[in-house]
Amino acid sequence: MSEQTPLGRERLHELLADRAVFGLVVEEEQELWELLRANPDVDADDFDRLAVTLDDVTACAADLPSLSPALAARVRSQAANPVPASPAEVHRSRLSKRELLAWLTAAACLLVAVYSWTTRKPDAPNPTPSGDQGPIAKRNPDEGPAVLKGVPTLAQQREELIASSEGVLHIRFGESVDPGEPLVSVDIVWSQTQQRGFLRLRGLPPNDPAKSQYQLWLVESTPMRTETVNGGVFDVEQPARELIVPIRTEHFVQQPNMLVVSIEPPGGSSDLTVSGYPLVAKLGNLP
Amino acid sequence: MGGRVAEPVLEKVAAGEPGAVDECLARYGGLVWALAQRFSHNPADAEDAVQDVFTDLWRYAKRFDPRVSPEATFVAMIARRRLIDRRRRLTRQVPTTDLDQALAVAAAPAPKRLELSDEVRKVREQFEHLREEERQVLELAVCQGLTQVEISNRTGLPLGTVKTHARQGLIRLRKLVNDSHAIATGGEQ
Repeated sequence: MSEQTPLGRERLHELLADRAVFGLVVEEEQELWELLRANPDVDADDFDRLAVTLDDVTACAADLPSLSPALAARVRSQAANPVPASPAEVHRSRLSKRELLAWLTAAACLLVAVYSWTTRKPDAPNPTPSGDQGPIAKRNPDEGPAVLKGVPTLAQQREELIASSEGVLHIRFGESVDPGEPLVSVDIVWSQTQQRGFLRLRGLPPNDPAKSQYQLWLVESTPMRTETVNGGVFDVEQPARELIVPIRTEHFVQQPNMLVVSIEPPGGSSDLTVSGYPLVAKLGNLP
Repeated sequence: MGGRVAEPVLEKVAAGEPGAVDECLARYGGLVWALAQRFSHNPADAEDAVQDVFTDLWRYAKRFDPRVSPEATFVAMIARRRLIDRRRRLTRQVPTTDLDQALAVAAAPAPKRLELSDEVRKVREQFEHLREEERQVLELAVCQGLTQVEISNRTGLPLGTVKTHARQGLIRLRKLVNDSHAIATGGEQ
């Protein structure tokens, strides 16, 4: 509660009011999320409800013309699909139950692997990501003795990617929201040619995988369009521990401008959540 | 929603009960459609927006808490948030949003109002205590769905001023409503 400075709360109210009226840009979303985290007693929906009440459109909801049968049918068919998305985005960001199952399986396997790495050598090299989007949040090799022979760890894969020097973008930054909060440090490596990368971070608060997961997105924005490409989900168990998360997209990303981490329901979402981004990183121009 | 309080349907949607989606569409389809039209530039866009809103609604249905707000308010809140975000993204894609379309949307006939709920009446009463420019901006933004740019074009106010009036107006309105509520309930904080 010590983070609840009057200034922080005042700014929080400003952001909530802005969001309710005109919406926020991603940087403001990040700021809002951080302030909400520091002020857990604040009702994040209060201003939105006020706007709805002021609007008064709900007072005559029953009197409004209903959806056309064709549109209602479209919506209904979406509802029958557990992870609906617009047709253009289905192949870009949708997560099927099968993928979710694969993720959970992969996560379980990786947990087992983490424990076993300290005691024995795996037989086969760690394969290059091949479309699976498993939640992988691994220990920092600096923290422990888990040095593998023959099996490139995520840290090693990351170093190899940097060393490949083929169109590799490498940015890093750190920021501290409040004096009492741990520094969130971020290091992103992205290879345009290999279409893969790694997010190395420390300081994100732990999540409960049964309730929510972090999800990576690459935002690709051109003057003509903006698209968000699913980069997979991951979990944070200990904020102080450094994580290395592989970034794997299902489709070619031509010009990623931004990396966003959002909080989504377990298994991830088909589309970037409207608000509350714990991390937003501008990628700038690719080399 | 008038005096009759219908049985919530979102809990049924969240539970996957048969018929719940149809019931939800019948009850809130018009509300979402009305809001989508307001925030969209053409019918095709509005139809896509409706789908986006209901996608969110299916996703967040389980979060609805009848102790916090009426169901219609929750639906409208989810809808507005998605529509505002959607418009922002579309505006970024096509930066030359033209005023004609905005004015056409703003000129759409408002649905007739049956009656004001107590909550709406209280908010509307306090709304009258805001400064004129705050009322004007909030009316255009919240009740007509105009963007910051559109309001600036229409009123001649600088963009930053539009945002400031909207922000300060809503913050002040919230305080006025809370204060009046505290007085009505015996001066509690």
